[in-house]
Amino acid sequence: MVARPRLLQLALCSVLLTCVGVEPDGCLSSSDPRCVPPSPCAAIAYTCSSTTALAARMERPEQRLPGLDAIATPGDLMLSNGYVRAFFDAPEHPHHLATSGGSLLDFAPVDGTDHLNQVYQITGILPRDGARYTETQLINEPGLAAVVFRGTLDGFPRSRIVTRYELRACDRGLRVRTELHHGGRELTTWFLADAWFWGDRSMTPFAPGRGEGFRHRALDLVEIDGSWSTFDWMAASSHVGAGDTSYASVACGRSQLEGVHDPTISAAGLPRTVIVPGDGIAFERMIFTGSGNGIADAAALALDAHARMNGGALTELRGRLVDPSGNPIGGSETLASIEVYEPGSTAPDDPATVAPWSQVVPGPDGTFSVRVPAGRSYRLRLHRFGRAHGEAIAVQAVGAVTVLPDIVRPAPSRLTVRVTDAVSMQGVDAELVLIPAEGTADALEGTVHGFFGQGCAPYLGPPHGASPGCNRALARGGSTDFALPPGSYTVYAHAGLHRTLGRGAVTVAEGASASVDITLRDVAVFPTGSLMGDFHVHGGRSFDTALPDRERVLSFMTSGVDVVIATDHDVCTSYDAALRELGLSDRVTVISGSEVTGLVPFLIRPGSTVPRTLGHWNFWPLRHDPTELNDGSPYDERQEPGQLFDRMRSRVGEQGVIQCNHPVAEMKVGRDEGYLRALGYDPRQAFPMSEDGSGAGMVWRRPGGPTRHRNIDWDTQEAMNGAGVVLNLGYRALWFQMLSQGIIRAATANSDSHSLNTETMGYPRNVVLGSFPRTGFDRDAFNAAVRAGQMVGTNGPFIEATVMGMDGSPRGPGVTPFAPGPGAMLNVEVRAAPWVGVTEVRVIVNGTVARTITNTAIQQPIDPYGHEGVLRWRGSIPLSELTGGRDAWVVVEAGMPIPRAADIADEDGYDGYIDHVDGDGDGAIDDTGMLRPAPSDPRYPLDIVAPGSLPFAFTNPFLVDMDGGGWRAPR
Amino acid sequence: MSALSAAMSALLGLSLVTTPAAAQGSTVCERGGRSGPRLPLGVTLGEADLGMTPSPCGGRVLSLEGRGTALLELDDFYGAIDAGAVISGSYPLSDRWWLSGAIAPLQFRFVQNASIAATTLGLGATTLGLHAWLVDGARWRVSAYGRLRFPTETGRQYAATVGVEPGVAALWSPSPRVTVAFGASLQGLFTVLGSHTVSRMTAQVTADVGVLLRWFEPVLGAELRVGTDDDGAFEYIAPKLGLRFHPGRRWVIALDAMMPLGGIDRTLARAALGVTRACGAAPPPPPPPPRPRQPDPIPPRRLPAPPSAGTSPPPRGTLGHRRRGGPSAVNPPARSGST
Repeated sequence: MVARPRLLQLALCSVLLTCVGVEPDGCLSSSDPRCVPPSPCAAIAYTCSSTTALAARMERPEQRLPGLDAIATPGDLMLSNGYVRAFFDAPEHPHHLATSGGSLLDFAPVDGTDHLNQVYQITGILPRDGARYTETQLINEPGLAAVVFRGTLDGFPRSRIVTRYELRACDRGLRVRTELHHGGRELTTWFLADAWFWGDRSMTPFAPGRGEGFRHRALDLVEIDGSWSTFDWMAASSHVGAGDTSYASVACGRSQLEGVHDPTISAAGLPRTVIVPGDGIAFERMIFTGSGNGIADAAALALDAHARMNGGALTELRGRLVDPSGNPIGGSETLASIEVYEPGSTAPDDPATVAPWSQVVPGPDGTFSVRVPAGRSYRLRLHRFGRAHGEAIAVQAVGAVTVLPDIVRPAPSRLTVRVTDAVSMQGVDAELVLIPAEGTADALEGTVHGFFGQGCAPYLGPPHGASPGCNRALARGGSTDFALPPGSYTVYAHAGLHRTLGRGAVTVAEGASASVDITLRDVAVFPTGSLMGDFHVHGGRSFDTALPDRERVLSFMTSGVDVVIATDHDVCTSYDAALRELGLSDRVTVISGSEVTGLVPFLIRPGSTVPRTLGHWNFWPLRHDPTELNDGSPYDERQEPGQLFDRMRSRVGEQGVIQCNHPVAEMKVGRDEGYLRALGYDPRQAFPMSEDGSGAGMVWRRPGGPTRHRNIDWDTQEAMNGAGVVLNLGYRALWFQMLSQGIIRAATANSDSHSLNTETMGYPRNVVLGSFPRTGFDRDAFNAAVRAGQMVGTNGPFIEATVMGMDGSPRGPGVTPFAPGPGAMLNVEVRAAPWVGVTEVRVIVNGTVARTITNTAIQQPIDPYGHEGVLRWRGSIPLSELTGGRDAWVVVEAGMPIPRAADIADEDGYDGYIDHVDGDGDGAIDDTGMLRPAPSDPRYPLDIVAPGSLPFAFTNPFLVDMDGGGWRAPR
Repeated sequence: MSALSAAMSALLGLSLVTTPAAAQGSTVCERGGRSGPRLPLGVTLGEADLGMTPSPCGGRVLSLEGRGTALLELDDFYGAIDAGAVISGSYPLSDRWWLSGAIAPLQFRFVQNASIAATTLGLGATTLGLHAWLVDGARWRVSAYGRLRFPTETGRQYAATVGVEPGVAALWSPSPRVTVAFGASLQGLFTVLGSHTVSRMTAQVTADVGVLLRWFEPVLGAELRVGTDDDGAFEYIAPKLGLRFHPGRRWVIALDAMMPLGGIDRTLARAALGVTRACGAAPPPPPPPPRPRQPDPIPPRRLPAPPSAGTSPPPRGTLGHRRRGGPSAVNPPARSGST
């Protein structure tokens, strides 16, 4: 394509008299590559006394907004006025799903907290359809400031895109205009929109409209029509509890937006449009931010802007929520959240047919104010503890302000819990789990307006925010107090696998307070000198959780781990501030790392046409540096693992650890989370031993060059990740297969905990064997032990296993082969806290169960909630009996029997991956996980602490060189 | 392409062997004795009739055509369907000059980009052309033309596309039942959006061979297009196939298709189904059935020479046919009587 001079165009027009196209304003009609788009949303103006708006480049990390999602670094761009501050990543600083910078990265009111992952421009669902900005321009003019990004579509370099973010002195939000010119040669369909990357477990999108509100059709990227909706504006809010923020977007120049909503991502933009080559499209909108719980603040701004631009009067509903004594109820979304909607067409409060307009959380004084269109009938419904509470109130909105009579509801009930050490009587940092009395759970289950419904009964707070969340609460120093729905509960308290599990029963009446005391005791499960570590832990810095640092650090204590690797997605985290605040710096060691997370599909493996991301990788230690991109975790997209290793090895050092996380995890929202599954590895086939042209054979590639890392050059891999038994069996099978083929990697067991509710911190964990002093932690020695596989992975039991070496010294598990001494025995001792079920010990030799010790030979504690009965089994087995005198790998497992499992034909067909188990023990392999057992089941207590878990521990392998001639893999 | 060339050669060879070399007293435009343009094939990649090699015969002709283009790139998660109706025709201005025009009153487009799909339905582009014959003879007819494309289409945001196409078209009739059409043209498309113009220049050549078998006429053809696109100069080479039915002396029903191969154009196929009617008096009956064993009634060496420069033009409306005594297939006597 050649841009013709204007003279030619004028000649054509005058000769042909056919220039009937619409003349757009802005850069679409200009051939100037430096053209600046016009000021967006000219139809709306705000007035105030301020004249200040500033566009600048961020210079210091201290300029970053408060909030765990704030991630702008020096070099990024910012806009600010007296009301809001916004940060945009520089083109060379891409984040998350975008393939370049130019995203709205951090955004909050001036006194607010950032909860935004990212807003970026897309035209379709594939990375090629996203904006790839390469240039920036800062504009400072009297009364306004703007940042302009210019570039192309990522996969269509002939299609130019330019976006102007503008902030005027009196604006409460950003004015945004995106122009896109189709320079390609084929027809295309564009959905020019802002993609709002919520990331799961954080923000909850809202769209007004009948049957909408917080209800959204499930997002299906393939059959996207079924997820599509049209809406006047959209909003979203965070649910951390303190310092929450809301956001909203409203179109300019048109009355509606279109798109999809999901806890992972929302997209709001123009209708899907066929664009002919040479044509263009422009999209203007305003993006607002508001303070406080609920969407009301940002929604009011969007509603006001929509009314100004499209007509229509608004009214303000004002009211107060009090208890029968007149005491205010508010200040917490869990205690009081009011949904405002027009009555439903089938029934006034039928969620499927009501037309929600807003949601507001009364302040601590019980008052609330919510803006809605005037002249309509509304119903206000209180939500408490994640459920509708009481009857809805009908109101007719007339005039500018409608003042409601006080809404009277019972005061919330409260519970005080004290957890103490039974010996010292000192308070113990503990996590509490509340289990409702039998038959009452359904009536106590709650959600965040339909989101994050994961069986939270009773619902104590947003499951992924601060404590209390879901049915859990953290007791700092052994004491806590929180509101809860009235009912009868068993309160469990746990503080690690080296302590007992305590419990107490309590009944709380409506509006009343109650208390319960629980004691715990230390039990001798783990050897002195060993350290327990969880090498895969997320906190609020990850894009997919909202857990505050304070709670995260407290959970380190309640889990009883000694070493935590902070592995937030694509960001290097330090918990130093929270550790200092809580005075826990000397009780737990946190090593900064990162979970490098592919979010931009790029690799097309042999035999497939679908672009892939290549799994998740943990790297540690890293240096937390807020002056660097992602605080020290470098940009990682569109790279094969070997390329990542090339870059990261120098950062983590030779003593650092590279870990392959959940190697065969499934795809989520089009992103492959397990590397081997992304490559098409088939567990029914032998693991490829060379780059044989297959997808899985790509593990042997050296993508960085012949002297660089292979894709398979990781140090450790997860054989257990969280509680999911189905996936864990897959990780175990892969590890076994690799061992059998001589591909030796140390196996780890990590929680991958994202919140108090999603995977319990430290379940499972690694017991790193050795003599590590509690003081003067030797990080390199610890990491060396990890890489050497001197570990036992466990969610409960501990296995002390040794084999006498040729030199007469006992050898523990590890990835270094050794020759056992003459007549060597495999000596095993299994210990566990009484509440951890152990009914089976297995010895695996070369992938086959060579010996099983069942519950008749295993001691069982009399009382699982007592402190006696730690030793479960001790025995010795001649190694020659196990191996037949041949070289072998030996792994010892302990816990409960592995349920029957199978690959059932599902949407993936028979792909060789276990996808169902007999999770309820009924003999049928028809469950996707372990179901909650009966209280009498030995699995029950662990299931309370770490739902879905099956008690399980494994040693790393013993690579026994039986003939002393060097260890050879069995096949 | 060798297969295509072989097929075309075979068809041509077969026709030369089995049919007389030429019909008595007729021109290339009259051969076949059927109404409407037999050749060239009425399918190409373009809007309205831009890029379509026109018949060098002209005359009063009206066509209605349904077209469809498919582009399917599964590996690229992309697909597009462009379908619609086109009304086209030609109208003589003099014995040498005639006008042609085409308009797409209905254009449907469906484009799927991964799972993002949209459709448009509206008016398509319009073209207007001016033609003049340059050479007219018993076996050859050559014309030159110029077309303009007008941006009448809806379904656009801001841009307007205009175009210009100069070209030449030729018909060669080696025998009464065999016709070969050639075309060559340049196309310039200018998409104008404010002061921002994107141009696309292409050049193409076409060749089509048809054999008339009573009321049925199979046609094979090929089209080569090159251009100035940044992605590459070779746009495509496309084999073409046409099935022409002549249900009456005024009517032609044509089913044409092409399949671009190679090059940067990813179109899978384009097909058109049209009906053409010649206006005016009924054309003459078709020539007698071929008699292969008889010698040619008029040996090729004795054919009249084509008109040379300076030859007086035939009377208006006859396009030169009547000077050889027979009524024109495309310009019937009634039309000439009005002059």
